[in-house]
Order: sequence, then structure tokens, then C-alpha cells
Amino acid sequence: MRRCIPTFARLAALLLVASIVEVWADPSVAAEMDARHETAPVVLQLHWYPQAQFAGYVMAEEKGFFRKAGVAVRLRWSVAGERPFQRLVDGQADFCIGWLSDAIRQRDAGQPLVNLAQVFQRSSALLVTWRRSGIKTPEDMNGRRVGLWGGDNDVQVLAFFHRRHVQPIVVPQSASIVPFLRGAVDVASAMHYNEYHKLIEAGVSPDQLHVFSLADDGLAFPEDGIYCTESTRGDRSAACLALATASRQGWDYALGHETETLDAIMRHCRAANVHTNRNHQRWMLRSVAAAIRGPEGGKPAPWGSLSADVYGGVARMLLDERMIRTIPPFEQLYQPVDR
Amino acid sequence: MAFSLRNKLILAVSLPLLAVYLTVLALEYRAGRAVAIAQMERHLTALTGKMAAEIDRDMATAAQAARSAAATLTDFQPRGREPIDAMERSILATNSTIFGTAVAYEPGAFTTDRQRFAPYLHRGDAGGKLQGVEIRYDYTRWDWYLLPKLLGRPTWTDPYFDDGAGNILMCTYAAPFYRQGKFQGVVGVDIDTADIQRRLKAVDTHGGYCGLVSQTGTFVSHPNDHYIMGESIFSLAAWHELAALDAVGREMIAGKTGVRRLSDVETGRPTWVVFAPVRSVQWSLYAVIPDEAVMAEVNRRLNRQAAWLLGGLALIVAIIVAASTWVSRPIARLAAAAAQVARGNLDVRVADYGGHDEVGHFVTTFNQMVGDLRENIEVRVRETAARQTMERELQIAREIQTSLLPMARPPFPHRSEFTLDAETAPAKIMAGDFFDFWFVEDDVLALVMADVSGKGVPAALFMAVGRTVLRNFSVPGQSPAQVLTVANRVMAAQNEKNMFITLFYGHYHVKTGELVFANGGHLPPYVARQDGTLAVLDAPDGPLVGVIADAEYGERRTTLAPGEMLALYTDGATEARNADGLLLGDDGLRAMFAQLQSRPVDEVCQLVLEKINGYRSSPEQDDVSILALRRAAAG
Repeated sequence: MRRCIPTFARLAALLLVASIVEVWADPSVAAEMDARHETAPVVLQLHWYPQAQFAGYVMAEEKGFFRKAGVAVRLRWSVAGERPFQRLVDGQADFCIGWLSDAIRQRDAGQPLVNLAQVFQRSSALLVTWRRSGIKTPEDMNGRRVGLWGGDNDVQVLAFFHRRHVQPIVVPQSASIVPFLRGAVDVASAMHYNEYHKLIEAGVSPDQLHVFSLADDGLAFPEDGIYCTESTRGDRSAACLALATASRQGWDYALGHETETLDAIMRHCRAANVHTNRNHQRWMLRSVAAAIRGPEGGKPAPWGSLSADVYGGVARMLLDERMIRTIPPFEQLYQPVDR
Repeated sequence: MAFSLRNKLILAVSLPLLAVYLTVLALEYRAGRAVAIAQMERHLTALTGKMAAEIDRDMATAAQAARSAAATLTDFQPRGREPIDAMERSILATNSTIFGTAVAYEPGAFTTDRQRFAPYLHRGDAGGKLQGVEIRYDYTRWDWYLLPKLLGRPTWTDPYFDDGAGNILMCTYAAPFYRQGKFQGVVGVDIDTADIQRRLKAVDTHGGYCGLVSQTGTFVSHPNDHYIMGESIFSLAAWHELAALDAVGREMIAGKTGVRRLSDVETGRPTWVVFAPVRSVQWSLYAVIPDEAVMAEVNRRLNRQAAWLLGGLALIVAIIVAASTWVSRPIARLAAAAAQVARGNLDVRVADYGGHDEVGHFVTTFNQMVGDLRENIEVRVRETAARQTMERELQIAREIQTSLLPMARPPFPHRSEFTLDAETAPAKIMAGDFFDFWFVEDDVLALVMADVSGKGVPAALFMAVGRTVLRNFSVPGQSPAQVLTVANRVMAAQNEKNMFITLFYGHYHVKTGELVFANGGHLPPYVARQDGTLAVLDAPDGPLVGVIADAEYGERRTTLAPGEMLALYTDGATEARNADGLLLGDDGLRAMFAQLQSRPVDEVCQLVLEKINGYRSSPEQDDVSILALRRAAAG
């Protein structure tokens, strides 16, 4: 019942030292870094524990794509409750991965966040119910218990209920799928790449479940993107370009080399004491590959792109839900490096 | 000796025996396997059941403590923290299986000024001093708080890792408490699963291991630490694509008891899984044992049996080898001896084998046979030598006999009054025919054509005698009848074997062509007359020569005109038979002479003999002799 206290902090410190030593130990890299006046590694904060959701960044680091692009990057994992955008503002991280809806809200709240690349093009968010619960439509969720993670992640779900005039009983939800398995909640929030498959790995067969895909319901909130602060974007555009380019290379590599990527992910998981298995990480890698490709059946979107339409859709929804006061200008938030 | 008698024996005995042994071993194996599996099932079902019950009991005891505390808090509203701390101390003091306990309040429920309040008391390292902390994080989202709250009843959480306490995998039983029907919070007790893991590791499964899976099929206890909380039965089944494992996993999380045969996810070898539910926590306790471990004792026993059986078989083979060597050695010696015999060595003998059995009898018989064979061959060799000697002598006799006949051709080259030739074709080596001619006086030529009864050496000898007698008594002044009468008397007197001769004897007067002749039972001669006819001379009818001592022979006369030819012959000519058995006969022979009468005498003799030989089916039928005399043509 005690909380896991920052093994991560210790780990992070260790990694920091290790990467500095590594950089200085390699004369060619050191020379390159000098040339670019980048003496310390930048920190890329990922918004959860190690898992295949972040395979591209792990492989970019693993295969040296960051270094080759001219930026030394240190990956930092988050713990539950940690807010990567806050880390950017605090200056503890230079770059982070975050959700678009969250970024818009932060921007509205005055935080100078910039999206460098919208990596996931499609939402993986689901609402899952038992078939036996009799919930067949969103309207059936009226008065039923729905588990929500709390915070930014729920925006999409709340918008979904609002549009359908559904009033469920909202119950807090952790990363655990047990409340849903035990029937403590009727509807669970789930990411296709994670919780949904955890249910399958707990012996639930897909035909026992009824799944509502929020993306299919017109709530296409694209999730993971690469963010930094406006000042980083302005002052260190070379590092921004290098990080975005190498990330893309990392993703290309990860999706093309499943076995090697899973090896690296599992290594990170073990190092961070994350209990998972290869089968789950493989599912996740394949699922996020689909999210990167873009809307199902549609033309694959250009890597890292974010259209003003999609942005506008998400922002309007947030405005409708009164989660933001005004819609931040698209050009302010989305400043891709190749522009 | 690729397939010697011995090898055949060995195969004939050992193959059926081997088949029987293998069948026995296979049946043993089946029976043993059934027993071993039944034993394993009994043992492990009992074992897992017992372990599950033990864990269940501990869990139930811990759960009871939480439920009691929750009931107390429902009835009694503590003022201040002290009663709560006391309650927690009491729980840990009375329940050694409980690792830690917390009373967690709904925000604002303990005191209105505190959002959350959750004092936690737990055991220190190695069961040392109790340590108290206040839970700072937002526990209201956590399963141990949320589940009893939402379900409205006490419940166990799934196991979860607590990183702060050094990788302690724990699970919590939490009971809700209420005030006036309103949810106030939960009382939770933690169980350190390390204790259970240790207990399971110590269980003797006879070559396997025990473990636990939670309600989600996730491993709580497993020999591979990486599996714990990471893998579930279903993740393994999916990764390794084992549908059977998936099905077993579903049975396990459904709280069933069972024994299933699966293939091991890592080795792929057949493995048994026995499982039983730990009902309070909805876990499943399992024992895994490789099939080879189940069968180890059976296999050991079978190996021992197989060793004994094979040892026995080896002994039997050794006995066969010895016995067959004992039997086959004299047979091999016999074979070698037989080979020597085949090469002609008849002196070979097989050493006495000493046994009075079939082989001993065989050896004796063989030796006897070789001895007999040798004797036989010696006799044969002697006989052959004797026959060869005799044949040589007969050849000489024949040469002598032939030399008795007038050899010169033409016989009288200085006499122009006539031409004469004679030929004989003997039936066997020694012929009984003979002819002769000589000048009794200057102008009188004696002519003889005779046929001795019988053939071969006796006939030849009698012929020699006859010829000598004739020549001796044929003196000038004697007529043919007188000569024949005297010769007959002499020959009859010496004829103890009762042989006889048919004999034509004549005196031919070369100047006049007159022929005076006597005949002792011989066939009448032919005369080819000037007019072209072939006449049969009317010969005087005298008895066979050498039979009747006082027989008197008459004589006749005829005259050959110039150019006329006299032909004498023996009965071998007229009695020649063709392949159909038909006799040539007097007519046939006369026709031959008639056809050839104008030819010179040597050709007549030669061609008539050829014709007769051509007619008759085999030359051995009888002797044939021909004599032809032609008076020279006038002028």
C-alpha cells in the first residue's frame, strides 16, 4: 500500500551521469557537440513507464540516431501522476511527449508549449463494457459506473458523453483493470494498445466485450506528439530539428525491426522494474504503428503532421466543454521544425 | 559364410525372443505409465488441494481481522488517531501472517479539515519493529480502496508490487466501514506473498514445481522471477501460440480443479499441470511436472528390466554360438573333405567326431562312402584298362585278319586274261566274311567267298582256320568238290564249338573262261552275260562247311564268255535292311549289279558296297563282301 517512491529519480541521476560520461568519452561526438555548442544532453520526458508506446524514441537512442543527428538525448520516464508539460515549464525537461488535447489546455492556461511533431495520427482511446452488462449504445451508459483516469485524459470521454447527453456515474480509475474485471465499474476507459489488451491477457476473450472507439465516434483526438517550450523552439532550433528527425528515424526503425525493438523495450522495462511481458509489448507496438499510420482506411498522414482542421476540431470540442476559454491560434501551438 | 548356420540359428532364436521382449516391455511401459500418471494425479491433486487450503486458511484469518476492525469502526467513531493506531497494532500483534494494515478514510470523513487520512502500520525488515507511516498518495483511485467501496463489500485485491518495500509482492484484503449507511473508508490488511512463495518453493513435487496465478491468470509465484506479475498464462499462451494452455488458464481462473497434459512453453516437452483454486482470493495454485519426471521411476524400472532381458538374450546367443560351433565344426570339416573329394582326393577321411548322434553317424557314413567310392573307381579303372587292352588286341587281330585277305590291287597285274577285285565291309571289328583267290596251277585261279557263322573274334579265328585249311588242301589236280570235301572233313573234325562256314569254292580257268565250282551252303553267284542279262548260277546244293564231317560236295561248271563277269557275295548284301525294315533281297542286289555290270570290277565292288551301305539303316547289321571277276574281252 506504500507508494513506489522514485526509483526513477535515482535511475535518472544515474542515466544523467552515464550519458555525460559516454558523450565525453566519444571524441567524435564531443567534437560534433562542440561544433553545435551543445555541451549537455537534452532531456526527453516520456509520459509514462517504459513501454512500446515509446518504441521510436527508445530505438532512436538505442541506434544512435539522436547522436548522429547532432543532439545528445536522455530519455526520462514518468511515474503515475507526473505531468511532463509541467516538467517542460519547470525546466527539468527540454522535450516531452504529450497529448494534443492536454497541450491545447496548457497553452490556453498560458504555458508556452509548442508541438514539434504530431506522432500519433489517430486516437487509441476506447470505452469498454462487458457484453453481458447490456450496454450496447452510449445512451445505455446513463447512470452506470464509468471509470475515468482523471485529468486531461478524460477530455475526450467527457466530450463523448456531453455530445450524447449521457450522464454516467464517473468513478476514478487507475492503471488497474481489476475493478472492471470484478464488476466494480460497468464501463472502463482503455487504450487500445494497453488496457484493452491487458483484459485479453487476463483471460477475457474479445467477444465478451463491447468496445466503443472514440475515434470512430468522431472524437479524433490524436494523442502522442513531441513538445517543447517556445524558448527552446526559438533558441535551439537545431536541437529541435535533430530531435524530431531522429525520432522519426527511430520510429521507422522500431516498426521495421519488431524483435530488436521488443528486446530493447523489455530491457528498459526490467531496468525500471515495470512488470510486463513481450506479448503485450508486441501488441502495443503493432497498435501504435496503426495510430501513427493514421485514420483507419484513410490515406496515411505525413509523419508528424497536424492539420489545422484536426486541431480546430479538438480545440472546439474543448471550448464546448468549457475546458478552455479561447482557442489558441494553431500556428502558435504547432511549429514543426521543417517549416 | 555370410549367413552361416550359426547366424541363421541366432536370428531364428533371437528375433522372436526380441519381439517377445519388446512386447513385454511395451506392455510394462503402458501399465507402468498408467500407474505412474494415476499416482502423480493423486499425489499432486492432494498436494495442491492441501496447499490451497492452507493458504486459504491464512487468507481467511487475515480477512477476518479486517472485517472485525471494519465492524468496530462502523459501530464506534474514534475521536483522534490513537484508537486507530491501537487497533492496527492489535491486528499485527494477533495475526502473524499480516504484513501491514491501514485504515483509510474517505476524504473529509475522519475530520472535516483533512482531505485524506490513512495511517499505515507495517512490519519492518525481517519481522523487526513495527513502522507507522501515513499514506500520502491518492489512495482513492487504488484497487484496495476502490473495490470495497464500489462493490460495497470486503474483497481481496489482485496481487500488486510495492516498489518501496523492496519488491514485495503483496495483496490486500479491504473491508468497508460505514456510518449511518454512508461509506466512510476501508480497513485493509496486507499479505506478503513472499511467504507463500517460499512455502510453495519448499513443496516436494517429485521433480516439478508449484506456483500461483492470480484471478487474472497473472503469475504470483513461479520459478522464473521474470514471470511474476509480468506474464500471465494467457500472455504465454498467446506468445507461444498454445491454445491448450489458454484453455487451461480459463479453467484455472474459473476456480476449477483439474489435471491437464500440456507442452512446456519453454522446452516444448510434454508436461502435466495440476491445479486447485485458492477460493478466498480467487487464485489458482498449480503444480507443474514434466512427463519425464512422472515417468522417471517407470523408466528406471523398465531400463533395469530391459537390461536383464537383453543380458538373457546375450546369454542365449552365446549358447547358440557355442552349440552351433560344436555342431558345425564337424560339418565344416565334412564340407572341406567333400570339397577335396570333388577335386579327386579319395584318400581324405574326416577325423572321428566321437559323438554317436546324427553328425557322428554322418561322419562315419561319409568316410565309408568315400572308401566305397574309392574302391569303385579303382575297379572301374582296372576294367577300363582291361577293356582298352582287349580293344588294342582286337585291333591287332583285325589287322591280322585283314592281312589274311589278299591285299594287292589289282591282285594279278601281270595277267591280262581277267580282272578281279574284292571288297569287304565288316559289321564289327572282326568280320566273319572272307574271300580269297590264288593260282592253284598256272592257269587255274582258285576263288573263295565264305561267311563264317557268328561274328567277332571266334568267327575271325574260324575263318583263319578255314582259309588255312582251304589253302592247304587246294593242290593241283584236285577238283573243287574234292578240295571242299577234304576241307570240310578237316574243319568238322576240329570244330568243337559247332561253328560253320557257308563257302563257295571255284576254279577259274583263265584261258578258257571255264569255272568249276562247289558250294557249301553259300548263296549262288551271279554272272553278267554278254547279252546284258544277269544270271544266277545254278550252284550245287552242298551242306554248310564244318558241320558234317563226312559230307560229299558236288560241283558244276560254267564258262564266262569274254567280257562276262562273275559276281560273288555274302548274305550280308541280300539281308541288308533299310530304315523301314525291308530286306534288300536277291532282286535288289541283282538290280544293283545289273546296273553296274559294264563298269570295271573295282568300281563294281566299290559302288555296290556303297549302294548297300546307302540302303541299310546301320552299317553294323552284317558283314558284306563282294568279289567281281571279269574275263577279259576277246582280242
